[in-house]
Amino acid sequence: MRIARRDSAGTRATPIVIWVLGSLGAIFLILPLLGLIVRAPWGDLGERLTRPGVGDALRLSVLCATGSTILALLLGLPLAWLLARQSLPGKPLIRAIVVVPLLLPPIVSGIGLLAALGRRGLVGGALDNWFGLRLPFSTAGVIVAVSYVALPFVVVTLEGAFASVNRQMENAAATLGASPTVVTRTVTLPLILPSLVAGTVLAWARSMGEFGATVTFAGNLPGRTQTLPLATFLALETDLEQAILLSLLLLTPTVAMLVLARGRWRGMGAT
Amino acid sequence: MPIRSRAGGVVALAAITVLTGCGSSAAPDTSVPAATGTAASSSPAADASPTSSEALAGAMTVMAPGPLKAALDKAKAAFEAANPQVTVTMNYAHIPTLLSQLSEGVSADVLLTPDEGTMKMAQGKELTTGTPEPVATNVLALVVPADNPGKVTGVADLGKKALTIAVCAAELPCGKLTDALAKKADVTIEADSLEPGGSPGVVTKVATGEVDLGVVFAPDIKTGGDKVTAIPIDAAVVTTSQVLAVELGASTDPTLAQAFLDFLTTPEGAALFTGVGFGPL
Repeated sequence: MRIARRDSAGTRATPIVIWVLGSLGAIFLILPLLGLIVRAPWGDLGERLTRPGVGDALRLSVLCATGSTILALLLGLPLAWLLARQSLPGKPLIRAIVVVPLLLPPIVSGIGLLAALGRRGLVGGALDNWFGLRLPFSTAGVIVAVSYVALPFVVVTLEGAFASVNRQMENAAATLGASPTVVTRTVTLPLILPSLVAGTVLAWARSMGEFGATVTFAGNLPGRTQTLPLATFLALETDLEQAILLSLLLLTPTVAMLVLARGRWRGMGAT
Repeated sequence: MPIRSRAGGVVALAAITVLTGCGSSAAPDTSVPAATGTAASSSPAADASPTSSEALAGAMTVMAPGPLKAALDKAKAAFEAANPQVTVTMNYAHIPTLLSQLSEGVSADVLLTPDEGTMKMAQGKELTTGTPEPVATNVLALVVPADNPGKVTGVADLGKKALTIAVCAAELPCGKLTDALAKKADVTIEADSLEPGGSPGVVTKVATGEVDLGVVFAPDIKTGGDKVTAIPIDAAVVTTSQVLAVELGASTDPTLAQAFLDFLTTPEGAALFTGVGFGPL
């Protein structure tokens, strides 16, 4: 880390091999995106974007990504705090389970969610019988499915942040008479803010692109559960150019969000 | 048996090379690439002296959507058994994926599609050569969880709002056929999900018990095992589509491609399809 900083300050030249491989890495990432942009049907953009269902799918994607990010923060922040600050039995196992949604094929995650929260599921049966709550095939179901996949981004990013906060600063504030709430607001929160932004933005970006868990747990019905990735997948059946356009439409707000967060999500790599 | 259109009773696989040369519909298809085809199989006298010594040899690739796997895996095995020097590679994927692969230059010899619409897509992209041959019939059926919680009895139940219903997305072959069924049976389907995963996707959802009623291609119901039950659709309203097979323009061995197509349309080939739930032609 310190060496890298000296490099960027120009005290030592970056080896040419770093330049070559690094540039290749960037090109590798840019080329497929460029391919999509080149193949996109720019000529009839207006007509294609106003086709039935496109607006609904975009609206539903933004709504569900936002809803699932809020849910992921609501559950993920406390979980990250517990993992970072409490002595828990089997912590390595819990940490491994936290990243399972990143490891599973999302379609399998969807099957798991059905087995847990479906009307014949472990918990879903009770939800249905006691509260008449059926998550599959509903918009709420999309939010649940997507937040399952997005949750690891919040927990992993924030656990690292909570762990790296200097406890002496919090203790000092407490010794000076600050209540736990005040300590959290004035000391802890500002220190973890970059990671909080990073986790939130990554969770939202992952949510926008979620396909497998959504389609398996919540199905596909325009206006209710058909998000932009689902609409894109179906467009592939009949109209490749429309599918490319929809995927670029999906990328635009997501990439904008990542750029606006000024690269703070890079912090995840350090945790 | 209604399968007499092509082979005319000739079932001996050794005679396939003959059909390639003088079969009525095969002749115009192979006229252009005949030179390369004959060279590749190194049997210039195939049409002149039809003996079993004119053995087919080489490797070929067959593209088909996943739901045809059960029948085509058996077809591959039977074709390879009859032609020991031939290796058939199967490429099962979603039709648009297969067509994209072909457009991007992936090599294959034969394509099968679940209906006429997807075959037209392939023809529209000028990926095929010759006339597609029907090899089986795809029939729709209702599928319910084994305990039939919705007490489904027939097509009329598709209009019940209280049931959780899944059908194929309208863009897919089984979705198009389901739309036709709804019109024919005069029922508005109260679907809760239009499955992008098509017929197998619907069966999976029914097998989990989350869906009370689904409409699928009948052969796919087997994938649900004992968790699902099939309910045949009344013959008066049932809709069907033809499974079609065609030689691809990208084929490097048209002789081999045509031999495989000919095998599919023999009674033996057709029986492989009806054996796994497809309808006869």
